Amino acid sequence: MEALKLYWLGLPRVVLAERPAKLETRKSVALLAYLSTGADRCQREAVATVFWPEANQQRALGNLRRTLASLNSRVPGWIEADRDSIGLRKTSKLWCDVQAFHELLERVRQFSNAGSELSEECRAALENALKLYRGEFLDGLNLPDAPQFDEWEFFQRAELQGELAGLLERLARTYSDTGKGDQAIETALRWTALDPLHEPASRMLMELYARSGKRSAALTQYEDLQRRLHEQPEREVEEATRRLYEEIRGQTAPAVPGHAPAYAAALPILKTKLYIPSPAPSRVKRADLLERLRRVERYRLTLISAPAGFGKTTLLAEWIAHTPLPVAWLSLDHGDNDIYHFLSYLIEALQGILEGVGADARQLLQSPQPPSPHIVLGSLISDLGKAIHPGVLVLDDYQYIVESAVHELMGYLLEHMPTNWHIVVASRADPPFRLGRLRAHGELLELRTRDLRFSVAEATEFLNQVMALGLSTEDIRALETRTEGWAVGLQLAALSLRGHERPTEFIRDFSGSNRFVLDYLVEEVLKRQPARIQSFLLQTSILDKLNGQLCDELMSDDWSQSGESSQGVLEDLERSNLFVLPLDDSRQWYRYHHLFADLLRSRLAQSRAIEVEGLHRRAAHWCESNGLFAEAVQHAFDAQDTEAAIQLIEKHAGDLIFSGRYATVLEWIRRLPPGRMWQRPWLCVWLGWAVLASGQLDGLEQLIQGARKGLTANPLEQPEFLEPKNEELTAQILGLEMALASLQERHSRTIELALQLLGQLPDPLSRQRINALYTMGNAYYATGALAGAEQAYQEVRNLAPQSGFLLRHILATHRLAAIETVRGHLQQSCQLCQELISSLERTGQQDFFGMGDVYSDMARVYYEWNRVEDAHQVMARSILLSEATRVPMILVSSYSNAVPLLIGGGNLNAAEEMLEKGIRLVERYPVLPETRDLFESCRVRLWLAKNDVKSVILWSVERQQSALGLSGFQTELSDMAFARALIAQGKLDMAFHVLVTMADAAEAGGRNGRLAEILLLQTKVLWLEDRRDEALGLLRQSLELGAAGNFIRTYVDEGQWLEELLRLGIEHGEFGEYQSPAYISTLLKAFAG
Amino acid sequence: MASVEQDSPDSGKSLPGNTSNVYEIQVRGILDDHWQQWFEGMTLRADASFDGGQGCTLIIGPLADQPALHGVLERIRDLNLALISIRRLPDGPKSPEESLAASQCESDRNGTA
Repeated sequence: MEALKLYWLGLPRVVLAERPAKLETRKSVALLAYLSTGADRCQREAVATVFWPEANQQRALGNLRRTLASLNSRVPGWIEADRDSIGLRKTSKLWCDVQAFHELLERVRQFSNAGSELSEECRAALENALKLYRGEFLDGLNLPDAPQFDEWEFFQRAELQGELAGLLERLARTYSDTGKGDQAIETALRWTALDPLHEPASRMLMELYARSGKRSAALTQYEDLQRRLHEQPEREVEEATRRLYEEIRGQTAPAVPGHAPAYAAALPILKTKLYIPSPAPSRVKRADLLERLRRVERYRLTLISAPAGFGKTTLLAEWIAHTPLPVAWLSLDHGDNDIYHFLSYLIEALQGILEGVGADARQLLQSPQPPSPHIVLGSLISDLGKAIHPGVLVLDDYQYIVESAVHELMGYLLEHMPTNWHIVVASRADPPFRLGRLRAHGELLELRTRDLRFSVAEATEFLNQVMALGLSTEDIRALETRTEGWAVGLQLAALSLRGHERPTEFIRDFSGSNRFVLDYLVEEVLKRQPARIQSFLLQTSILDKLNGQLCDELMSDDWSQSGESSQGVLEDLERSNLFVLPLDDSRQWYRYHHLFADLLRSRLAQSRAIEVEGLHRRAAHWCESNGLFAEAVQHAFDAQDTEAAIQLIEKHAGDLIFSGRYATVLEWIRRLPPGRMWQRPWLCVWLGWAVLASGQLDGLEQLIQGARKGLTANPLEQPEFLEPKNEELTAQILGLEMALASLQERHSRTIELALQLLGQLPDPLSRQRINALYTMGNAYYATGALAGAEQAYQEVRNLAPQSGFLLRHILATHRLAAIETVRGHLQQSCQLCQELISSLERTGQQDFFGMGDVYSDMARVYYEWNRVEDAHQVMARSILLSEATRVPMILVSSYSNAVPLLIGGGNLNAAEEMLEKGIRLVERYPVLPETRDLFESCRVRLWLAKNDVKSVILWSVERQQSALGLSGFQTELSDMAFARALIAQGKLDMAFHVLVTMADAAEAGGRNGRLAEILLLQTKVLWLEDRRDEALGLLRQSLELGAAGNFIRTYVDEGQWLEELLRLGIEHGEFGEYQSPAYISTLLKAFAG
Repeated sequence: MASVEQDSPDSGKSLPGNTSNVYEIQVRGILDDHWQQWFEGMTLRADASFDGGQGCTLIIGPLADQPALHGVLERIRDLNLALISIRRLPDGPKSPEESLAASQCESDRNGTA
């Protein structure tokens, strides 16, 4: 075999023995590319389907054989083929530029992991990789008749282009960091050329220009970008870019923090959970542990499991400072047991390293009744899958999570996140993930207590170098033994020893004592503090997070005269290593080390001089007036002030609920004395929403009644601030009732309540109102009242975009398209989908959550119109998007919708595969009645196509017994399938009977699309009974309806008998006066083709 | 969010007749008195001679149910206290001294923990 070189990056070229090899057709080039970049061996049938989707399987396989033969004559010996599979010989004589490109990038990654990204070798690898990339993958090569190939090619291109972007970014940085300014600019220019709207690229270019003194070029780059963005609807320059621009223009206002207003000061607390602690400059470098952590990216999960005070967080901070991987950080606390709260922080944390990630998930979280957490997570995972670069998510203090739902969600994330993402968990207890399994699969990296203990050498470094205590080896050994290498113990000991006159004596006493280490040492440390600091530490220990102003509030009695400021004390404590950790860069929020806080609190509780409840009351007051409502409620409870807690909940629980903190509200209200709730209607309402969102309906009825009673009770008993809100209370109660009725599938009640609620809500754009309309639409749709549903959905479609409620807009449009299809108005259905897609394309949101359904609607219409190629293309997109959501319901409908296309194309195996995937989901998850209806009907259609009589009979028997049959619109599709099953079994009388009933119902409901098919099935029964004249009469009726929507495949897929009957009808002049001749001849042509 | 139900303390059916809800938790080292508040409603008993002078503390008292017990264990974990043993004391009124004596006998039997 002669050496083969394949150049796919750019115009495709094939070189055999250093001479260009000319391949006969575009398809053979495409096939060679496909075989060289994919798996080692491909199934013949699969390849044939990808390249010749239009031909039947036999013909496709024939084409494949011919193309392979031609390839083999041009590159002799390189193609391996047997009866079932084909492949390209992967020997050392084969070279492919894509492969080489990936290998170079891999080498770059290794360099950067080893911290040598600025080395000559690394730069050479980058430059060589860049040289290989002559142009986009298979430039100019497209196969219009093989959409699957084009799609495969599209993803290859996108992936490679993403790699290229990363490469350019890295190379530009390397050039810039090694002082090659001009080359850096050139590279950054190439990067911006890939996507002129990509702002990080523009920012880099601006920075490079500015750094090399080309200020005006930097400013022009910005202005160009701004102009381009202006041409895009609803795009603005990002804040970071604008700030950079202003900086370069030299107009940045100096950021003086000054004395910010109270409310503003409180806001950054939201970010404190995401703050990556910065490694302290004077720490022991724990080289062994850092070395082990370098392997994080080889493991799915890294678990750091050790008790408090072993330095888990410190170690992670140190590691983050060293790792090249982007890291998202989330410090957990009790509040994260509220699953939606947890999710929104998870999104927030990831957004810090991955722009735009979780934007859909966030939209989902914002609906008043958000979908299940798994749906939100699914959307987030699909976003992670789109990210080109790897990433790490660190969850610190995981021991605070006790809620099994959160554990479960994390387990799911671990299992389903893309393989280049990694999770690091630091915890005092092993989390209930399947650690054994992960360990067995080599997917778990563990650092445990024994690993985190300070060794004698580390203790020596810490005590003698970092703390400069100058202790003897024996003293260090004694300390190490007494503290068992516990980091906090050593640190406390060092603090006690600082400036101690007789250290050896101290160590001897300490070693000889059998008191709990913490008690012994903290006492020593506190003793050395002045009284005012001791008092400060005790009183502020009630706070989970400390802020200068908040501490001032607590200390006001002590400090009213001295004029001291807490901010200064906090900064002093931080400086002197007294277990105070900053939670942001601007030193606004701090916390105590957990252990230290626990110890201080236990001492505070014993202290007689300080009234703890009073402290909590003050804290509650400060938190409320600074917008920290959840914290305020917690302090009110801790102050034993139930009435204050209730009032806070009444006022603020709504905000918390609509930002997803149901579990928190639920827990609060359950903590109240049981009787109290029934006297306070707002508590009933909030508890009702929280209960509803947690998916339990028990007791909801009672809560609604409780709230209603409160509404009619003597208004004097209500707190003053609630009085003007009575109308709002009424609306809330109605909303609750409606949501409950809808979940219970009490459709007419739902509609009634929705109408009442709509009357109560004056603002046409409120989300509450849009939800009411949508819920009403669903209730109408479920009962088959299409006109009512249409009207409601139409209104949602019109209003939702204005209120930024994109998800509802998409779902309403999908439902409207479905309604038009059912009515047989395929043109209108298609138009609705197309309009939606092109309006979303303008803002780059065409892949938004829920769009899988819309593409699926469109594919069905294209297929019906016999535009098979278009149908397949759109369907592939639908499945892609649906799979990205991982939502069972959406997946089932996408898979089901694909089945008729595949059966129609004779691809029964693929159809079966689709259904298999669907079955697994339907068995495990609840789906809407209409989705199940669609799915069932598709199963039967496949059995019939495969002549699987046994399955058909079994299913029919079961269906007859389950009394599910003929319940109108909701089961119409599977009822039709039932009729088909009966026909296949020769039970013609029964089939006809069923069909007559169905036809009446469909006609009455205006469902002409369905009616056309029902009449067609009746026609078939009559034809089989040899009642030709009657058959022709019904066929004519069916065709009249079919013509209105230009239905084709419904007829063509019936096959030979119908073609025969159609020709007979034409002979008899049956269709002449009623039917457009063009439609009939289209049908005949479709039969022939 | 599971509502906290009154989990009956005698859910351990393997101990027929034992309805005591008094637990005794043994941790290494001697705890200062101020921790009394931390383990609400329980008393702390120090035993300086335990394990050849290493010392231990017994945390003894009634706990309403299993979740309450887990709460206490969680606190012990959070303080990085080494847990040695935990048991439910047998029925009948018993002074802390008696139970201390009982536990000492036990630890003697088992050797060092």
